[in-house]
Amino acid sequence: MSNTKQVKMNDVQGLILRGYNFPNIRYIILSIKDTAGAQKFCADLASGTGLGGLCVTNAEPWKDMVKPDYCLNIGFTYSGLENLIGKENCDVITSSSSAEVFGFFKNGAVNDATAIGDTGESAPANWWKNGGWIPKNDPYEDGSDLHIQITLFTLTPENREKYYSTLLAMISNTPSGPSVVPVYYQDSDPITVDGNSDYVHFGYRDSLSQPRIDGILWNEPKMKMLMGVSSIDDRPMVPVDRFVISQEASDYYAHTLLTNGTFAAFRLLYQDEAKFNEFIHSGEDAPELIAAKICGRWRDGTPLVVSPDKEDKSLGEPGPENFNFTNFNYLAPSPNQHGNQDGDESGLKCPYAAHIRRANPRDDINVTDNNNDAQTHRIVRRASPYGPVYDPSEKGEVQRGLVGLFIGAVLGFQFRFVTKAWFELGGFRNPDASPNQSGVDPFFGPQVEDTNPGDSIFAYNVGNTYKEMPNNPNEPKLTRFIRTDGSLYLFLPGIAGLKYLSEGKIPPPLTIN
Amino acid sequence: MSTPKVITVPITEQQHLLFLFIPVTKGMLGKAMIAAEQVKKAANSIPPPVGDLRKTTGVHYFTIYGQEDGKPTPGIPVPGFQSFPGKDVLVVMSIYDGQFDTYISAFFKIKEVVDGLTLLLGIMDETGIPGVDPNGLTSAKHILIKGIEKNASAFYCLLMRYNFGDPILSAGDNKDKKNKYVFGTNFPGLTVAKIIDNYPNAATIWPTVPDEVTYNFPKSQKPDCK
Repeated sequence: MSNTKQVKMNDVQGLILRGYNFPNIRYIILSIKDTAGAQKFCADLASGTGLGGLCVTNAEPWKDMVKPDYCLNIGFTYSGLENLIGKENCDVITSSSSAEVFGFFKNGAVNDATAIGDTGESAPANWWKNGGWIPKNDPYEDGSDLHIQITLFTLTPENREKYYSTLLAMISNTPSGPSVVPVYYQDSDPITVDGNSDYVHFGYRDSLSQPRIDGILWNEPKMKMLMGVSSIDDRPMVPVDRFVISQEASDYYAHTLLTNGTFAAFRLLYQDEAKFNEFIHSGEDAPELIAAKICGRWRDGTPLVVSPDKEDKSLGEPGPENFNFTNFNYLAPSPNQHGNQDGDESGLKCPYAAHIRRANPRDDINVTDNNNDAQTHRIVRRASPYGPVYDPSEKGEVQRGLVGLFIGAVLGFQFRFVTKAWFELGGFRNPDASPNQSGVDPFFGPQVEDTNPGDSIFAYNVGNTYKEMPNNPNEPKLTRFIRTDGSLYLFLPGIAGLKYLSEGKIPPPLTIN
Repeated sequence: MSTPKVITVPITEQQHLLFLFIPVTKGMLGKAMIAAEQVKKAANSIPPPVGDLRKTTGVHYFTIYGQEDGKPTPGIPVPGFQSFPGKDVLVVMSIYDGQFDTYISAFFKIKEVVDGLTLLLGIMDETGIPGVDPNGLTSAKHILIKGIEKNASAFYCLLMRYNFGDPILSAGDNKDKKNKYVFGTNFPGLTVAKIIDNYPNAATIWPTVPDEVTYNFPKSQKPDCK
């Protein structure tokens, strides 16, 4: 699974390999009404030569390291892909790719909902119905009317409107109307706390520990120095073939159309802040401690493993450039780990159940299917908050949460595996010292059909004593604080792949050896 | 009588049955048994890159038996196992902990095990079996093109096609009377990992690389039925 070669940056969509850090984002879903028009739209976005000149952003470094006015990226659902290149070509891709790569994508988010825990209120029948849906008619329950997902990143809200108008103007018209129509959009703007805009709802500092991708320019020591980033980074290198589809990966194969592309889950997640606050205030310990035990980090980002009792201001200013917030392990301290150096084999500092421990168990080899620092299962998150900051006096359900892309070259190994096996299924670790066998990820809570009583409990340890919430019938149970309001499985093609899609064709598969 | 205490057995601590009837090309049973032996030997003698393979596979017991086409199972007066007409059959039975895919994928960590499994795929015969596409995406033939490691999901589906065992039915969970077999245990939730971690002198009696110890088995007695 090693691949340290530089990838073709001009053929890879930029958001896969770098976080743009643009403040004003619009996530758009479009439906294809006319295939030829949609192909023209894709061709123009691939080349940047169409009316308005908008172009898909690739991964090449920005000129003089100055941010462009906008960035734009594009992905396709399976029904979108089938619309553009036809069923026959899709069948060729299916038979020329591992099921892990293409099969789960083809199956789609709706059909996969039960397996990954999108049940009850989070079930597909309820998706896209809580604001943002444009047409008068409801979306199809099978999701087959959702074809293209575009993310537009801008530096100002005004530019977001400007470039969105330009984007829509690039869509050709047919006698019966536009060839492609936007059916859903969601804007994202930063949440600022104490002058810092890297916060998400529930009040946590975010963007502290994305995967460190091997063979990528941004991770070269010289480049890091230019960017003003310390190179004392303990994160293990993750092979680039986890995020960019390669023909050289050891555990999957893929049709050549997929080369330099990737897959992602586009997720619209509602966060119930009132319910979350009620829960963290219902225990016998301070709400801040309970919030930290649920996440695995204090609200400012300090990892519990590094500082189990309080935020640690000596770590410096939190952010993706400060590796003090990501240099740590669960069993043996990482070489440059600050603060507490004790291993956390028993989950006393950071519960096994904690969100960041389940999403990335690091060196904990006792976690199911984690024998390589979670490298096989890492996910790049390009997601951001939507909706207003929570006001305790607000009435009714105010829409807020997290929206964006969870990227990995292999859905079956990455997004789908982590969500299903590590967040939802239970039996996260063996052996497991916690009184409820760690239950489920406390942010996402138990599924409606979950009959395991331990999954409705959040257990954590303070001073060598386990505590359980709730600890009496009058206290709120652990429930779902995050609800799925929409989901798509997407293929994000390479630039060459996008050009093929715009021609309704696929390249020939590699010769089978 | 007081209400019995309810103990939840997490998924990773449940025991399941694998019971495969793999169709093998007629006359290739000898080769199949060699491949099976190769898998067994590699799993027993080669340490995995990380951790303890026995904990991840969770295999408690296993049986491998080959039967030629059309022949009855020897030693009993009833037919016993049956081959699909025109093919030999390899019968594999095991009891394992946790999830089916985790159990199987753990074997992929050792190249020699993968080699043995590949050899087995090479002598499978899926032709002419109703409902089975011998060239389909989960067929032995298709999986062999790129290999097992790159076709993990397809390989799970291939095994499940010939698995009488139910990976959902946990040993000791006999509440549902509609289960296709009764699967009992006196020790629900007792995993291989727990045995290794908690049994006194486990490292000496059952070392991580099993071939570091050989065992002597004095013969037990059959009942006298003359």
